[in-house]
Amino acid sequence: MKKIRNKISLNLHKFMIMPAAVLFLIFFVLPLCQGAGISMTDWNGFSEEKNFVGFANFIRFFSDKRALHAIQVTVIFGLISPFLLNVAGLLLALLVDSKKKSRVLLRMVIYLPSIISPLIMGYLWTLILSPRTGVLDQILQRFEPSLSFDWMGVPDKALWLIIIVNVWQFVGGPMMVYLAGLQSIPKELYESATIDGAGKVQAFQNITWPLLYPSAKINIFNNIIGSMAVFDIIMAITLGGPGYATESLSIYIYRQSFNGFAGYATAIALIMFLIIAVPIGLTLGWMRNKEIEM
Amino acid sequence: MIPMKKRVCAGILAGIMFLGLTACGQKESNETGTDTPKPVQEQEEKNSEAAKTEQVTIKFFNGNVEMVDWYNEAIDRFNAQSDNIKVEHEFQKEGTSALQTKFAAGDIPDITTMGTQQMIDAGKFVDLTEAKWWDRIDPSIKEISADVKTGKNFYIPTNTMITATIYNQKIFEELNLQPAATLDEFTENLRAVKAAYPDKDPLYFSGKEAWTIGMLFGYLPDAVERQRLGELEYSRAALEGDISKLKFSEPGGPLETYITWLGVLWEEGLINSNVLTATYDDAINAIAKGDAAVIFQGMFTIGNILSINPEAEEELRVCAFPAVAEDVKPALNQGPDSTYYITADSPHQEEARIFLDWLFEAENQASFTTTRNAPSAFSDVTSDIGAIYGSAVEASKTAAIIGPAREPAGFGGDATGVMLQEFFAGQYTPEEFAVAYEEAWKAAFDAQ
Repeated sequence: MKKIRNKISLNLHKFMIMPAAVLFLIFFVLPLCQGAGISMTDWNGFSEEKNFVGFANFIRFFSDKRALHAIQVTVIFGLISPFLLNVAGLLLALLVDSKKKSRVLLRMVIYLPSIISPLIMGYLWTLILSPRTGVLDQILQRFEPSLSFDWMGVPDKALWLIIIVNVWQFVGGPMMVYLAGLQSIPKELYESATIDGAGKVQAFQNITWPLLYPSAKINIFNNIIGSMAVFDIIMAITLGGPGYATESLSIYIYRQSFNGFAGYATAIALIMFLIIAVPIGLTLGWMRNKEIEM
Repeated sequence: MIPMKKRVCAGILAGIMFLGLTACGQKESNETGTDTPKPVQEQEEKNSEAAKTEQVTIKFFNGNVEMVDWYNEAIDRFNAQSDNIKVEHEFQKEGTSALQTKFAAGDIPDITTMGTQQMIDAGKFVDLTEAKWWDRIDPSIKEISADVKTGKNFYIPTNTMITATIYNQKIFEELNLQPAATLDEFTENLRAVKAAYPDKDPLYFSGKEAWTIGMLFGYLPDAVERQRLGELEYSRAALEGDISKLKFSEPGGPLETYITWLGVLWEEGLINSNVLTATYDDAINAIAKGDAAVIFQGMFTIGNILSINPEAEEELRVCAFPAVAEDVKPALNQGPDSTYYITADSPHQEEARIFLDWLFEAENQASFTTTRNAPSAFSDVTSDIGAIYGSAVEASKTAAIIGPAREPAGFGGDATGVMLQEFFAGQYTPEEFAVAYEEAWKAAFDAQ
């Protein structure tokens, strides 16, 4: 009896993860398997008819110029945006980690845009950037008319504009994570470094940055995943235009799906999953050996 | 080892959960199991009465932003006077996308105001060819509403809609201009407006919302072959993917001519400089406030225009699109509007018909027509549609009438509008555009 009780006690945790495991199975694994099935059909999204087409959708993807362009947009956005978010987030965290009275207000002001819907924020920026009637354009017309033009209407500038808006809106999140990391570093380490004659730059290089790796890891993962799947802010600011200049893979999937190509859209979604997994995996491998335990 | 207290606590909590579940089960058991069985006849009578007074909820799905308030008010009136049918109104801006999601998710509305060719092909709607409502509708409207593939009618249109050129008559009169019949005349008119009013936009395009410029392909360049071949032959060629008849990439053909013309307007500043980022709302504001002299739009915009500037009723008028080739007439699009489909999977098709009976009553349709600013399709409905729409009706008497655009799935106004965005962004010459357009059309047709 005692043996059985011990066995149950030892394996109790396995039963305890069952509810979460079942939910994960139903809402993640099952749809993924269903998606894999649909990706091999020519389903239009609502018809009863689904014909098996094998890997035709995947083959089509690699000869689809618009899809390949969408990958380019997604990768540019998905790498540059997290990089800027992390650099700016870290700098702001260092700034607000001071003892100045204004630090609470500053943190709040920087974090505030993060809690507003990207769609609303996108529309607000559209009003700011709009040529002729936008606030920015009116200021530029008064002080520097040569810079006054349709920023969102120039294909090679529109994506950068969206990246800047995205960084401006979401920089508060990485900042808070870095701030939490900064505040968990024992002050004694800095005191010892100062006694040893280390300057501020050396202290940052040898104490602050290595101890911020866990925070950096969280930020980089979250930002890459969020940026690679970017949808709403682009839809609000440019609708993927002009032309297809800012059309991300998410938007392309959405458009294909609602144009009667649900099978193809699902195949692209699976490819997108791999595209996101690769940089995540690489970053994870790179950072695994960098972490330092306090 | 788990401490004893925790085990006891977990046991109590599990017990409470279990009791809660069994209590639910017991309640149901009491309701059904402990009642004394009633005689069969008495039960049947009760069921029959219940069927008559059974509350049925009809889901009404609408994608017409301009009519949301009207539908809300009308449905409130219907619900107040109906004993057993309750109608729920749902509006979605991205209507067809939302409807497709609903079909895929099994959340199927009973009535919708929109549908696509693919949904019709997939058998999602009830065949309404023999519906009694057609008795009150002009046969020509029934004809243009029929599905090209099957010849059946899957929706009832309560109105007709004209899409054409809306121009500022006040400016035109001041400058002694006449509505243009050709592209050259149109350009001269715009130049005159630009010279007299440098701060105004002679022609306003809302290019950010691609459909607004994409739909024009069907009414301007396509109007040439549609007139040369005839609507029926053109529709057949489009359905069969017969590119040789559609002639999109013909050198010097209508499409290339149209794009060349747009290029000239763009270079001369005769189109608004923010063409790539201007929205539909911007265009409506510009024409309503007199900041733009001309827009190409459907008459459904008139309500919005008048709500911004009621005086626009006196200032704006409508004429046909200019002809892109010399051997054809200026054209305008006239098609069915405010359409109603009953879904094939609806369990309440009879109730849906009862609601539509009420909705299609002459009194309700007179009110609808006034709000919609579109002539009613019903012969027994008369209403004042205003001077602007009156001029559109007048223009339709001399212009060629173009029906709904015929394009493959995935190559609608959005896709063609995006291509035009690319042209304005400098990606194509007119010759390249015409070739790329044909390739994209064919690719979409093959992928269907």
